Amino acid sequence: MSSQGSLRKDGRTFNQLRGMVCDRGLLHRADGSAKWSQDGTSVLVGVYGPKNMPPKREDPEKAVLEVLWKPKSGIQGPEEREAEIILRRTLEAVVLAPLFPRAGISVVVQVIHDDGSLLSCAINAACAALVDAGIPMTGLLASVTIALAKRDDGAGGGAHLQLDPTREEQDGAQATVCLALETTPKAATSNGSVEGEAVVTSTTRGAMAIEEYLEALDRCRMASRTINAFARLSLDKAQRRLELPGT
Amino acid sequence: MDSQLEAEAFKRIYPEEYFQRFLSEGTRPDGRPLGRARSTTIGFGAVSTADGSALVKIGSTTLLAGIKLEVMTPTAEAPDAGKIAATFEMPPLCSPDARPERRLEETSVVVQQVMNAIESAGLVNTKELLISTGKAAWVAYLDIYCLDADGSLLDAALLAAVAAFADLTLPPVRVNPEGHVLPVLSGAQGGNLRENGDASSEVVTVERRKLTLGAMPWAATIGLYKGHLIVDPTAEEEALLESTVTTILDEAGRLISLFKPGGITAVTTALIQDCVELTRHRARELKQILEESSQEDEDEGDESQ
Repeated sequence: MSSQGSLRKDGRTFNQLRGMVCDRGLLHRADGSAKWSQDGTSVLVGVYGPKNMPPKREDPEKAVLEVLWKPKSGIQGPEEREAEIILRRTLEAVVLAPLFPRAGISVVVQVIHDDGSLLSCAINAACAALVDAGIPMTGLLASVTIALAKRDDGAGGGAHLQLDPTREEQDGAQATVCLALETTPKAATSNGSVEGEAVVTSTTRGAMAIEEYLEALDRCRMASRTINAFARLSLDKAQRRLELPGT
Repeated sequence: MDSQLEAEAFKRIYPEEYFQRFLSEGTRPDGRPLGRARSTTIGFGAVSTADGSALVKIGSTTLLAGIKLEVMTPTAEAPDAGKIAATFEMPPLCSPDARPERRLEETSVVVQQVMNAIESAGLVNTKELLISTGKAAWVAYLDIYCLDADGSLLDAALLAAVAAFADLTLPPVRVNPEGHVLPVLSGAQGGNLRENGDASSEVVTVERRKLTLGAMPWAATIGLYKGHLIVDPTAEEEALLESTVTTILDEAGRLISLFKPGGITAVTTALIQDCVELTRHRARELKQILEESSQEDEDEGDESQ
């Protein structure tokens, strides 16, 4: 994409993701772990399980997924509790829980630093940690946040959709959209049609036109392919640390 | 009688099968077509001790919202604005899953999404809650109580919150030079004399008034089940659904929120457009219900005077 002289504060184009780093197997006691960073935003996730659950909580038909969200500092507030629930329901969509009846899978999320797109980063990290733990899933998740910059400071056209916003961009935006998309192996092979990635989770903040939402969805689809390709590379067991500079 | 007993037993043993048979006939266990929401009523001023309140029923889902005003000192960052603080309670009486010792997870999601919708739509201009710059402002405590949780809680909670704000009246107050907020007693002019004595002439009086509300957000929850779109699901249906999408639109058709927290089915663009279309229809319906209810409320108020 040509820069058109209208770059963002950190020098990225509007349609550019930040550099990603994925480290796996950092935690010794966990069955799987991953640290996922998107420049300033960084999340460490540990996965424990499948393991025993207290009889009160177990499900005779499938594994129970549990997410614990630890904020960077302080105690959990209502926002973190909501993020915890959204993350759990998102992961439930891809984890093949019926394979482990009566068992439990704990996903512990530790926020290391939040520089925007936190929920997306946490979803990507959790997915990588589940892969590291060898938990069977229907497909890989890729999550992207998009900020709609206010019209007056955007350059017009499609330029006001900012992919993977930093905290500053996110706070100054008219609206933000956070989407988690699932790519199943089947969808990936079938000629890569536009509907290859379907929306598992969607949360928004701020008001926008429906067309803007749909445009954001299309941009997320494209970006999710980059994230997916990156995540697939990190599936390689030998690949403990993988870096992708900004694309 | 026998066949009714049989149907009841079948529903208990094979809830999924029971539900599917209805869907294959294009209807639902409570007799509604898939695209129709339950009958909705709004009652204004349900709580006389609150500054604004509303009782909302969508089918048997019942929510009570009340707003209580308190005076606060505005924060240094926003010296000219008040604020809104919301809570959502699901007491044990509202649902068999609600227990006193453990908060249901819906609780945190609903309150966050309701606040998100109110802020995103710009329903309340917090600057209007100001009494005196830097000295005093109103903080509106919005408490939503769930009396009966029969599905689509977010829709009902948002409607109750919007209706409570529509009902809210800011009481008349006076601010003395020290920044203390004093109530103005209606019709008791004599009582003010002594106050006037020790306070100087720069007493600011704010009249009794209603808020000027911005764009109102309207929500519709749509359940996804094996390719069917089920508008306004009941708790019974929600237990079987694969996932739900809550779309919130304002009058101008702007998208305030599209909330899909995971779930088994992943949705395509076409499905999202269908959900938005169904919500548009529901938003018109809700707007009309709110207008009619507030009209009735005013008429009643006139009669009683």
